[in-house]
Amino acid sequence: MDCRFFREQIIVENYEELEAEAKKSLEAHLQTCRECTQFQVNLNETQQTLDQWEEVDRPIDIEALHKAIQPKPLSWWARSPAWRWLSWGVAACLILVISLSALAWIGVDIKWEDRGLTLRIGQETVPEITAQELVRLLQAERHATQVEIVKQLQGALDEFSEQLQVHLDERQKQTNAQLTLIYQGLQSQRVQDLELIRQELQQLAGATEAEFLETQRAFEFILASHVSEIQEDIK
Amino acid sequence: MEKSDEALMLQLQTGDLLSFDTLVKRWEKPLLNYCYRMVNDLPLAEDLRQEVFLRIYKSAKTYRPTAQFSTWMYRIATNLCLDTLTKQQRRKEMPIDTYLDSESEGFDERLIDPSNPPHAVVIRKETESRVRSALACLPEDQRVVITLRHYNGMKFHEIAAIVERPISTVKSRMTAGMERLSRMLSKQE
Repeated sequence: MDCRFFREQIIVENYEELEAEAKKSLEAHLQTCRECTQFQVNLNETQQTLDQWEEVDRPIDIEALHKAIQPKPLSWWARSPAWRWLSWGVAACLILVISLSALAWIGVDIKWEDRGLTLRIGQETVPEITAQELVRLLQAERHATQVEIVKQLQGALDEFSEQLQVHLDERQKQTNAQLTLIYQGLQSQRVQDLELIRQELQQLAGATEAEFLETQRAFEFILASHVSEIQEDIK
Repeated sequence: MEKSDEALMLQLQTGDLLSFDTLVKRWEKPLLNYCYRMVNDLPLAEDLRQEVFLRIYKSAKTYRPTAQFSTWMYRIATNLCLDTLTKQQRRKEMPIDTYLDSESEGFDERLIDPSNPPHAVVIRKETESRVRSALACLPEDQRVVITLRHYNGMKFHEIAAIVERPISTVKSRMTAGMERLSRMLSKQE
């Protein structure tokens, strides 16, 4: 082991912390190493010199310490709950006013309306419209409604025609030729009626409201009469 | 029977101010001298001692007696002293002579002590100045270790706990510091 290690051991020994085994090893080294022996001598002198710096003794100001550890007294406004709440309220109002001002500054529209405070970001775009345009839009809407109703009626008519055809097919299977002739006549009449209705319906999309309603009622009457006739036939 | 520091700290946690006073009385002198040897300025050392006790009081509730009180206290003091030294950069701003002058100009009560002949006092004061000068020239990590071991009687393993370094590092710092002190003090002689 080198002298560096033993010099550390010498210091530990001089402060009486060296263990017995290490102490024996150090003593053996010191008997053979003059440099380390000299180091120990110098160390003893240094320790003695260090001892010349005597301790100072200045008692602590315990009163000042007690004062320092005490929590600082509250200010007059903090002691009174009313003042404390008032100050918090004022602070909250200030924050609200500053916030609203900042919002207004950045372009947010702030208004007090019937419903309460209204914030509107950006401009609301309301398109300008003329009376003629409004009429046109309403007519278009009505036309669309009429077209929809016509489509529904056409659908109902198709369904009825289909059912009628099925019914006639069933009847035709029966052997009564007279009845067949009668039914064929009836069928012919109804087919014509239905064709008429189809034609009327095709023109109906462009009709006025009054015309439309009148035609609708007529169709309903024709359909109802056909239904009652068929029911009578069945009986 | 005298209560241990750790027991006093536990009492302080319950709000017993008398136990704090006992701790202060017990440690005010070692703590002052430790701070004084670290910063080499007695009024500043007194302020630091006060601050250390304040910190002890404030952190009493978080204190756990897992380590010795003295170790905990010296760790607080060491950190505070090193922070103060770093902030002030005393070495750069003040030459070493200024350290010596700040204390040596005052009236020394030992001069009127009849057991101390005047010439002995002068010699002693001169030696003390040399020691203070030499210690102030040491790197801070070596000064901490030497002060705690030589003047405050802390064991090497306790110093290792205070500076939060391995014991081998503490011993090597001690060796380097003592060698440096030996050279400085022998040159001045």
